[in-house]
Amino acid sequence: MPNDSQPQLVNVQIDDVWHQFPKGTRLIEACEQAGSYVPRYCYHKKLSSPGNCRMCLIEMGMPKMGPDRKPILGPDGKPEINWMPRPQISCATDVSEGLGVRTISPLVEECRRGVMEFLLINHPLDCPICDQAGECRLQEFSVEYGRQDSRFLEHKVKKPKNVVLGPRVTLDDERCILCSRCIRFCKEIAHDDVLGFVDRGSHTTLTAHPGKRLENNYSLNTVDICPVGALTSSDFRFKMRVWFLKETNSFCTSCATGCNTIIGTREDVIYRQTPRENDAVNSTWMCDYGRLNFAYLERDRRLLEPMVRTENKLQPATWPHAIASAATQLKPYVGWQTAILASGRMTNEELWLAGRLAESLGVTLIDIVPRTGEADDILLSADRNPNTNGARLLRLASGSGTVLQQIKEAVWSGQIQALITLGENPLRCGITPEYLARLPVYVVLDLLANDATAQASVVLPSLGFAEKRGSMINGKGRLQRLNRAVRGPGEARDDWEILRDLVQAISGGNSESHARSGRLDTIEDVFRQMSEAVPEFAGLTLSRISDLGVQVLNGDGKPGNSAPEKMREREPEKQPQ
Amino acid sequence: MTTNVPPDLERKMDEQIGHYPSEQRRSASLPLLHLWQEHFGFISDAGVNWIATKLGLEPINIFELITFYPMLRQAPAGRKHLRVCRTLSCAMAGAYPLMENLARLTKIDREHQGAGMHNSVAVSPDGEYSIEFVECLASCGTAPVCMVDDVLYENVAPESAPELLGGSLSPGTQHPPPHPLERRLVFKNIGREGYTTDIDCYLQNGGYEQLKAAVKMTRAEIVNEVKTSGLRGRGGAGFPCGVKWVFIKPDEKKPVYLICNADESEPGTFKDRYIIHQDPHQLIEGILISCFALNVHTAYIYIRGEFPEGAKILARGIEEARAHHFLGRNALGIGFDVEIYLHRGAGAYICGEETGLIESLEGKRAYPRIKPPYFPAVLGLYMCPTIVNNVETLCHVKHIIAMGGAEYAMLGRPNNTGTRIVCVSGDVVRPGYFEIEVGAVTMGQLINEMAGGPKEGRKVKAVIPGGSSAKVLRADETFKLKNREISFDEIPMDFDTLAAVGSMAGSGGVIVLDDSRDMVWALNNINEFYAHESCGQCTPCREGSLWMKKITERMLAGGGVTQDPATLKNVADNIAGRTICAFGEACAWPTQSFVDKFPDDFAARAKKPVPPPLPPEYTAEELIAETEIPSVPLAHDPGWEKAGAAGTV
Amino acid sequence: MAITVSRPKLNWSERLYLPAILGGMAITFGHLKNMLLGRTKVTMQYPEQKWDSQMPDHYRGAPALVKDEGGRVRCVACQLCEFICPPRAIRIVPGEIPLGERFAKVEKYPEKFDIDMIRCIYCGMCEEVCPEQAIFLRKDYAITGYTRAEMVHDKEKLIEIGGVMHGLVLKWNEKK
Repeated sequence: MPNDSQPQLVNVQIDDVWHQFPKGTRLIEACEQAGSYVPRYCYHKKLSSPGNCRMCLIEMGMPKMGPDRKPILGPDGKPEINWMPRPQISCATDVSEGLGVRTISPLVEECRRGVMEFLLINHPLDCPICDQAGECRLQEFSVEYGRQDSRFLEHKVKKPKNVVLGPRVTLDDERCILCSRCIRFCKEIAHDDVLGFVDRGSHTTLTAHPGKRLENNYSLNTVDICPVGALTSSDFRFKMRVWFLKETNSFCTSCATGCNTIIGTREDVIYRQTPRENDAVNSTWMCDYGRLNFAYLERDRRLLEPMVRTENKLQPATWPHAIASAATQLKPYVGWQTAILASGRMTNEELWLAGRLAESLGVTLIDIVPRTGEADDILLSADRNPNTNGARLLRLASGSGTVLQQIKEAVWSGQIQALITLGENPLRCGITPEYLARLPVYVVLDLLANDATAQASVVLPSLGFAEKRGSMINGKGRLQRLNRAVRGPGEARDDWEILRDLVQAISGGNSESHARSGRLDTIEDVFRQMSEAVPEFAGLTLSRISDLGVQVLNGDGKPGNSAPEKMREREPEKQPQ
Repeated sequence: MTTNVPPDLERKMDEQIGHYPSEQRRSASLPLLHLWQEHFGFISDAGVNWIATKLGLEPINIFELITFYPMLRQAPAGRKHLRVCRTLSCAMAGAYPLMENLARLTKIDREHQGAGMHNSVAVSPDGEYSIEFVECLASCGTAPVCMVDDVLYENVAPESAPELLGGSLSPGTQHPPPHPLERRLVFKNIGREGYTTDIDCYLQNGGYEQLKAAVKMTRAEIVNEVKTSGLRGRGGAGFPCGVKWVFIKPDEKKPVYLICNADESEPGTFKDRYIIHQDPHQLIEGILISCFALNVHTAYIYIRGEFPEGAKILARGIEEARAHHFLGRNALGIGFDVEIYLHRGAGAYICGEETGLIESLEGKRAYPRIKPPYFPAVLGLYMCPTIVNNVETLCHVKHIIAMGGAEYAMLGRPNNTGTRIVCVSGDVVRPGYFEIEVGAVTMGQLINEMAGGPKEGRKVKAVIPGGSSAKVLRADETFKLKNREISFDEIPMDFDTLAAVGSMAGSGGVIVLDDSRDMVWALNNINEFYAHESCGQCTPCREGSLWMKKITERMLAGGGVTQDPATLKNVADNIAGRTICAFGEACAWPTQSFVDKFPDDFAARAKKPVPPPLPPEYTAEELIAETEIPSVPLAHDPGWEKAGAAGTV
Repeated sequence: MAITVSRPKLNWSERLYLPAILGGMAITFGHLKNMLLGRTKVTMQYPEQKWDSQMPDHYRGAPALVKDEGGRVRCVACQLCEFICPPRAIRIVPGEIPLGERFAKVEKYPEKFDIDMIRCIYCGMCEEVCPEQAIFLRKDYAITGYTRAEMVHDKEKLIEIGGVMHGLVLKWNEKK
């Protein structure tokens, strides 16, 4: 009797070896799991299978049936296989009991060579200028199945080049192999049916309707899934060849979803962000807004060195001087005279140390700045802070910004004498320059110079999401880790180091936390200290958080684990809406 | 931009939308586009947007269609629109000189109006005429043919172009009396003196009697009769009709659909044309019997766009049948609701493929579906069980009910039962249609006796026996069958023997080529058809069909290279059996068989040892402007630089 | 481990040294005689005089960017030379050719193209890897400068050295 909770397993023979797969596995996936990668262009596991590229042709066979309608068993006790004379596509079939597959055979080889030649005859010799070169499926498979010489003596079919499909996507129709992945993505995932094929036969051309543009917030995913260089990102276009890029696993910090990403960098310059597969978070997609939201790290107004106000003017200072100056200025005030404006964009480690800073100063008025926007039903979350859940868990967030309102009023009334802002611009939440002018002490830790930093007593330049390590908890309660992709500019320092130094300078190295957990030399130490205090992090270390994250809260942001919701795999949608 | 759609037109559109389930409005795309084009002359961008809004679609969904179906125009045609058929039979009979004459008379310079471009319409300078070459108009027996607006002119000799334009040529067909070797069943009334398309005329001749008889039988009985009859599909594949029908479960919960495939477009085939145009009620009766047998409440007739007259006749026939309560609500008073709707195609050969047809009927580009999983009998129209049958097949159902399945099975030969209509065209004295008992007539009898043999002083060189996609047979070949060897003339015209000799009965379109024909030319004509008609969905057929056409075209132009025949063969081999639908085979078989069977013709046109340079697409002056930059000699000469001396890769 | 090199055993005539001395003198006096008779000319006045005309065809001098007959700098900034360059002497910043420009069809060009001639080892890999026949090693060998910055050849300098090359593949010039 098959167990209901366990998926039923079926036996499949792949290249003469029998394997077991759960029922419902796509044959092409089964082959890949069995170590026989089947080349493909049109198939994408998150989209429907049109079976149009014909690259995944394989030999297939069903078990031979005896007169009693039972499979005939061979000498090895396994069913004998009745091979079909014609090759079959492996992307549209699910595994079934006794199925036989050959992914390596003269016929399969011949099919792949044939399809490769067909795909290449009308493909331009664009590789030197094509952004896809280096990660192009056509290049990869032509190494294995391509011909050395061309038998095609004719002129290639001419199609439009350099077509601006939308604000972020550029199309080269000659490179297009008409796999229809982008069309299916727009229809099935982005729900924005703007792309289509026009004309017929070899003249078939991918296009958007004149007057409509591919401008939905997920348009750049079409660039990712394009197996060739037909769709290219207008932002990344011609910036850097992909083989120079160092890839760092990270996640997007532009909203609470925390889509997993790969950051492509070369020599401390970020060139692009692409989504990384994580079925518990973002499937294989991410929104354009988050993907392109990294240019601020290279802005001109980036803060590059610590500054201290002397003679009513902000002057560059050394780090020890800046930290000491901040500590000296903050120390005279008692807890109710000081407030801390933390940020939902800080990592858990930084928030933890912000908590220790508050402790050492006796501060109770501490909150994060809520940041909201419109959500869509795909990935973008209404909460644009990536780590609201972390701030709540570490009890630094009031929830709806009530403490923030108190802080604002207390600044105006003169109760607050010293304000510390951590990565937030107070001007954005109603604390105007007039408010700031009332403060004798205003310590800023931030990335970019703005009108508020100009009024600061001490400015401590910190790092952005791609420049540091640390963990955050996304909207669905998943703990994920940021990795360092580039080094920070100038003298900017890691936020957690600044906060640690500040705490130590204020408490003189004898604080309770210091005594409790010993020295904080690395960020791992901070996490360890935090994990000892926070039960949700028990048993974890920063390095032990896998690249796919760890579920620490349930979907509502409440403690407890819950099975993550896997972004559903779309069944072929042949029906109109 | 606002578009002024007259209320009358919108009413007609709403009526069309009503033909499809309410959640499947997209299906009405093609009918609406036809109505729009009939009213406005072409489909403007505003039209695309208007129709998209009307059907709740994105404009790209409509734009995809008008660029897929060649009959839909994005620019106005002339006041008279001429369509000249250029496919094999017509081309052999002089379609190209006819086109030249027409172009000269109408002062249309096809060279500079996008000739050779996909789907182009050339308009004369005064806007009076527009002409275009179209693929097969399904009247190969009266080649060459030309359509002026909606009227088909047959046997239009190239020199009669002025009369055609002047309007003094009269349309119409000569129908010779049945040949003694024929056995007329379906074609009994075709070409009969005094027989009209009126329902009264049909009723006087015993019409709808079988329907009345059928509704007194149980459904299983009817299906059983069809199964017993051994009727095989007459559309091309020859699949047993009864077996297909049994796929439909008697207790099916989803609605079941029946689609009559009247998209006759296989070059060389023109049988359905006459049934539709001269005996529509026979088809309607066949459909109604099938609907009753399969518990179908909605049937569609997918009629090809090039039969506008036929569509009108069928529409009238359906209304007449409704008036006589043969269809509609509570048809025949037995509490059975059944509707037949007409759905016009718009010039795409691929719609003859059943899943392509279903996609087209759903209002999409006619991209055939992958099988598995989309077998029409399981996941067909709107993902419901669907039976798609050819016009002739459905007509035979009527006769099976009349004769009884067992008796019908006596006709023809075992496993090749009944009668079928074969259409002979090309180089014979009397081209035309002949209804024969399957296998009762041999190839020799068909060509030499019934069709009058080759023209004076000519010999038959080759025959394509089942529509242009069937493999060609040489007239001087002998064929080994299981127990005997037969000559070409002795081949019986049935499904199994034609398959055994390496070809197929297909759709029954026999194209005869005599010894004056260059086989490279003939293959190029066929290749052009398939390159034009490939839907472009899957790689091998999309790229291969055009490639093969380019090779044969180059060979014809004198640029054939010694390896060309081998390349052609290999390209065809790489297409056949690797595509989504049978179109792959259809476009590969001609090339495979032509190259295989006529090596001398091909070798004669493939003599160059190295490929000739490509014709330049630019002039040197356009490319190279004078420059003052001093030239520095090469440090060394790697050799391969010289490869580009000709200026191209 | 140390290798012991055995001392060669000399015979008595070798131990005398005289035959070797005399042999050497014979060569010296032979040259003297040839010089007095005006048969040899041993000094070339470099840099006024150069050997350039005798440079072998396979000589590998400074790498340079060439133009074709159409006046187009053939480089499309594919950065393969930058990738292959063993001493990492090449630096390219790619750019897009604006629409409407004469060669806009090529789409991509090097905005900056620097070769650090202090690093360059004249290996010729850049020429070999170039898919566009755009970079060639010329016969220039005397690359000098007063500062390190001067030793970096920028795009203008590279094009100046490169000049025009004839008979190359014109793959971008098909009308489209």
